Amino acid sequence: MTTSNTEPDGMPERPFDIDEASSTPARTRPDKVTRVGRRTMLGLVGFGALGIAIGARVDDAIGGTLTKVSSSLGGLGALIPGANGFRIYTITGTIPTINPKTYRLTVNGMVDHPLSLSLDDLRTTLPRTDLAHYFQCVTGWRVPNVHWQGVKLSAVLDAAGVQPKATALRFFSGDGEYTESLTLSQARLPDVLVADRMIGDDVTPEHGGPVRLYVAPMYGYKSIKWLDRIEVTNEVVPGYWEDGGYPVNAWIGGIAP
Amino acid sequence: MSGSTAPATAPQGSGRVSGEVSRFDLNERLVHWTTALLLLTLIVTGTILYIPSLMLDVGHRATIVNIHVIAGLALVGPVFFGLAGPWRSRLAKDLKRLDRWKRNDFAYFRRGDRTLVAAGKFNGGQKLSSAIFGGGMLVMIGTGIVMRWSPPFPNDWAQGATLAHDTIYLVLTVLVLGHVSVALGRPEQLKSMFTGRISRAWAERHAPGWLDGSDLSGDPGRYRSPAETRPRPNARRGEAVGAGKSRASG
Repeated sequence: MTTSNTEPDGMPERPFDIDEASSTPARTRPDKVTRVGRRTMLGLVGFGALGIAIGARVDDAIGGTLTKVSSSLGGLGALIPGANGFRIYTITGTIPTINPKTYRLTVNGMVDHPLSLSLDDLRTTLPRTDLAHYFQCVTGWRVPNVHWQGVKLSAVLDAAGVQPKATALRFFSGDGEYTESLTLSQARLPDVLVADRMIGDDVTPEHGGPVRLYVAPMYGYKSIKWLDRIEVTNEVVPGYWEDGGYPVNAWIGGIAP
Repeated sequence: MSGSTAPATAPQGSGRVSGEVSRFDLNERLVHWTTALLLLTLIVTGTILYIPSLMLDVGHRATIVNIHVIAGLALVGPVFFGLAGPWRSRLAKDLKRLDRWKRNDFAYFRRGDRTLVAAGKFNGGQKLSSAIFGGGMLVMIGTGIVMRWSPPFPNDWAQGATLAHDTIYLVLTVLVLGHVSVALGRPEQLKSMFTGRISRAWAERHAPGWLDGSDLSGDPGRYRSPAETRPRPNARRGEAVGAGKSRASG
């Protein structure tokens, strides 16, 4: 930035005054100046603020239509905002590939009967349950009316026989890194499932199959994918995203049911 | 090239067109390129986070999120520091130019041949796109903060912020692609964003209102409305030929 680096005009700015302007030797009438730049910016900022304020209602209202538009566009459909699609999150480099035939869900820690449940065990020896409920991500996207099928987590815990001093659960993902936590009372809520089917099909690998957790009253990060092991403990150990500052008690909207 | 501007319209009194003029100073170029780098980072990481199939291929969501959030917060940095010291003057002046629209800037969008519309330092298209860039980036920062630190905010806010963030993401991505493709088609202007200088011939042809200072004043100067702009004989067609000549001689 040298001083010689000035603009070609080099003339002082004139005050923005019509009389002043018209007294200059202009050949034509003064030009009107409109401050379109800042108006455009303010308009956009207003759009953003409006989005935060009422975007959820708009999202709910147009989501159904946009879902149809999005699915009719194939791969490009993923670009449509507000189309109510799942966004697939993985924190490791790859999606774990788990063979459903050899899959085992381990339940251990402070239990009387440590379990090693196959997919067949989950489907035949424990009471089945299903529910339809939205999937809400903490970052703001939501998939309405997802159909979940599986076994209530409380039924799994009852089968294992939780010891009286236990207060919490730790969940470990088959991806080797992701962990989650729940208190025992949260885990016993009726809409907390060990899910092996969703949206009318077996849980796919990208959705966390063959078995994942679904914690309906909490943000999606609680619904750990590729569920590998449940450890019953006496302390809540914050999970993967909770170490990054997200609430351990991840009630949607911050309100416990 | 010589005589391409009628002497009567050149208040500086020089019919000869030669040499270069300073278009962007070092501060402005630093602000431009650091913002460009941050936007590129944001679009790449944001696209990965947005498109499920890309997220599946790349993985490592926490790392990508961290890069995205840090780059997003940093986006206020270049303009802030560019305006924070005594080096601000030319950037501040250019922001003022981008804000102020004169008749010709509206005419830019109406005229069939945009090269016939005399402009100041920036034409109507540049003024509109810079305002969308600026406002769009503010929206992205605001909605991005609500998305990243959502639990203190109502859940509806995060949902609405996501819709707005995704919509403006598409707008800004299209704008960046358009901006880059236009720049690649205009090598002389692209070069000036590196060197800071541009030929006086280019300025005479495309930005006469900049040369005579009228784009910062109420004075119509050479920055006239289209009705008052007499098409210059050799500016009607062969624009590219004329520009090529001026580059070669400049």
